Amino acid sequence: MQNKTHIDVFPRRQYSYSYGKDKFGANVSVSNKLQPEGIYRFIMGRDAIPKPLTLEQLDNGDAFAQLVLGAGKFPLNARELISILDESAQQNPEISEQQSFLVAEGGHIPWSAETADLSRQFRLVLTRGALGRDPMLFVSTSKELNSETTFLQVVSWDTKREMLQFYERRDGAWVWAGNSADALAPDSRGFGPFDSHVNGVLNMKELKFPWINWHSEAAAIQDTAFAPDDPFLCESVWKKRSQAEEMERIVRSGILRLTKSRFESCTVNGRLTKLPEFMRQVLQTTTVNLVSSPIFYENLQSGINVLLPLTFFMNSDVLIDKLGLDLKLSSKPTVDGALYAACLRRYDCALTDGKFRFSGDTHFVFAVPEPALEDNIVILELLERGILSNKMAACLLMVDFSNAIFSARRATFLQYIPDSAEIENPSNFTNIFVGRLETIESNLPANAPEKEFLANWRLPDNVWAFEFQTRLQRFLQEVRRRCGTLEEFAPIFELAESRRREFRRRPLAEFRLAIPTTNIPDSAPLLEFAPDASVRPKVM
Amino acid sequence: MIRFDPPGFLDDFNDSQAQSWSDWISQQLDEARIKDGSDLGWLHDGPRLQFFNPLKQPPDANATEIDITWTAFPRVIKLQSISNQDRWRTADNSRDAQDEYCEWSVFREQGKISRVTFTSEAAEYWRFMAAVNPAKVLALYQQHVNASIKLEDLFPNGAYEPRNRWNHSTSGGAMHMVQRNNTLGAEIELAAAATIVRQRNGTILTSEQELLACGKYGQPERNSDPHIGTLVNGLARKKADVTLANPIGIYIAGLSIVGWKTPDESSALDYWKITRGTKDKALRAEFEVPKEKGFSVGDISIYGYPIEFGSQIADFVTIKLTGLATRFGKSTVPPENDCCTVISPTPKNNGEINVAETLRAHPPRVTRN
Repeated sequence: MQNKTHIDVFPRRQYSYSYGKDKFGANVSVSNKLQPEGIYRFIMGRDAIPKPLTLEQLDNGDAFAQLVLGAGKFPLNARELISILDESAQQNPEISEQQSFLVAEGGHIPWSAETADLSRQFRLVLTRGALGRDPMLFVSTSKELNSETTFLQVVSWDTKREMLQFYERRDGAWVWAGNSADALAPDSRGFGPFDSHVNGVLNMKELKFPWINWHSEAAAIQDTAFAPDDPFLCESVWKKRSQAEEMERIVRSGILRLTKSRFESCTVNGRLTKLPEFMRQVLQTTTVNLVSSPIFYENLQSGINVLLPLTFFMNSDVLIDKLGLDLKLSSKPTVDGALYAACLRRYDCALTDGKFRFSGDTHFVFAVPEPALEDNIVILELLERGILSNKMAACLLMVDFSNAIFSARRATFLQYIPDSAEIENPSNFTNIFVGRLETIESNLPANAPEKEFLANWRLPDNVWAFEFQTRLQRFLQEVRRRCGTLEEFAPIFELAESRRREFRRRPLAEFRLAIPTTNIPDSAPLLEFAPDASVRPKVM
Repeated sequence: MIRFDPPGFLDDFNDSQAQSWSDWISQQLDEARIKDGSDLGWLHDGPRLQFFNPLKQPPDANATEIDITWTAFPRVIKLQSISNQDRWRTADNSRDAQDEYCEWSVFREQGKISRVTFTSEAAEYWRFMAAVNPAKVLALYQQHVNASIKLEDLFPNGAYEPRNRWNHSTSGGAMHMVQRNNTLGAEIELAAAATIVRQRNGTILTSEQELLACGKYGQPERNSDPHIGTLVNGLARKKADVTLANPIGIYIAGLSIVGWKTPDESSALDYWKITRGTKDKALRAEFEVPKEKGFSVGDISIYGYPIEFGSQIADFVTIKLTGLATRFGKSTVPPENDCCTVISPTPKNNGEINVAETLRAHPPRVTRN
């Protein structure tokens, strides 16, 4: 039988070196100047052109630099890389265990002759580590293991610097694209690999159950998604694929490891320096994860409760799980399956890769962006290290709490953040921050976010938690009421679409099949929740 | 293969008892294969002709085993809970809540967790052992749960009580599973029913939920059932004959400890001990820090949160069964065109098997040593 395997292209997986200026205006260069078996440094935004590096100049302490490039190996494709790692693992147990994970936006759409050309966007993630330890090395590539042109990227833990190093193979050469610190540096932030690894940490967009798009215990990517003669089905990385729930554990741990290291490196003489860099992860939405309902699209029918993710309504991961606000609710908000399906029809919801169009929703419905784990872990560390008190964190997050992401009101506070703060002494940050707000308080309009914060902050210590719980409960009760009719749920659905539009505008949104399209134009005003759970155009 | 081994290659039985256990398993597979649901008022639920008994139809030499894994923490609780604390507390509160073919019990000292025991052993095995060797049952309880246990605690009215006082709660110990759906029979029934390849309007069904809805096996809210069904059905769709690999059982596949931190930086895996079964076919595991280490389970943190619930560990425990497929491409069983249909209100057998009755109907075969 003729191989009908569709070859996916991954336009954002290989940073555009070759067009003079990239979309951010950064200097870029022509990739074909790279010499095969060369090692280059190309930190986009900082370097005008890839610079050749000797092994001595590549002074990285990670497994890829040490055991692959340092050993004079130049794998041209994923298969060669795996082979080199297998060989090296015999002497280096820290990379002995391999796990493979699979993600694909079209991975749950069965293959047929009609859908053979659908851009399913299969990506393979390989981890190498020691049993029971955080992996030391991550490989991201497509299912074309022999390809020397498909993207082949490596993220590797540098034990010397305690951060991640980023590499990619390009034209037979290996390019070092920077490290976690470069993700935070002003000149390289957002460029190259840091368009998706925004804060220099591991990235698994669909981090939580049901791990939409991943092969997982919630939804297996099966061989029915491939052409029957696809050679990938014979590969051991396919046959022995692990499930996304384990990848979630790895990524959570990896983000925590790097975040702790970052805090350590920024702690000088008992003070956390670069505090605005940390606090922007509290106050802005530096990036997002994608979460969804656990309900399958095909199960939508009357009587089926479509559970809506709580993080769509508030940053429950911090407010409830960490700060312990105790909501007296029996369950999360839900909407009836038939009512939800009516919304899909009303807004002409569909998945499309530009060529194919499937009416309906994603495999698991109601895929929406949520507060990113990497931002939330920064909050947890700020609490852990005594920079922020529980009350301070709660008061900040309760400003515009119903818009847990993309909140311009909370972002306002960034201008008042001091450059550093004492650790183990939350009152140090508090005194500076609250002091700055109180200085300008009288000149601000009544609805200013600064006034909202100060009102929160002035709640007595024995009252604030109860008051915030009451607000959150009241809000969710109103959400649940509004989920009862099509006319009142429709604005919430529109808000979900608005947040997806904001997500789509970010480089993280690589693949069109990841989230549905609707008949709401891209130019429609962005929406937000009001504190009473009504939906309104975004206001400050 | 001349007979089925006991789960986890346990050596609790003498040869005669082991043969009887094998006979019983063989009988369950035969019944699951020929079952068509008509006795329960179900249509289009069998026979399951791609499900086979390897003692009667030995697999080819190129038979493939596949592990099907899922998380021990109950999905239904995860979905319904507002917070992590809520879900951990709920799952730790009742064995009836622990429905992913794994149950656990927590031991505390001065309020802090000192030990958590996990079991994936099915009650059928223990009922069987109780019928053939009560003294062994007592000895195992005394070894694994509490040395002070007496025979009358386990056999209060002369008959073995699976939910006895030493095996019914989440704090007093756990010898084997007691949640009503966590049975070996459920595993066999699920695997057998899932081998029916189904089609609707000429399209073969492949996804978790459509297969489950059509086949009406298992429970859609669990991690385990939809996942097992889908992967087993995937083997059947390759026109293979499918069964459960010997020894048939539900196993603890492992503990993942990425993100765990011990006070002395030792590996948390050092404190995970398989106490029944083998490393690859583990039936019972305990998580406990030796006293000489100077800290306890409650001093270990996961992602920065100290372990306050056994459920936190269950989040990282993986359960598995192993399917076996053979004769790929050779099955001539046609796809079923209809979904399993209820024509009477009799509930479908969820696999709860009365072993004692089975033994009475089919007395254990006595073999000569």
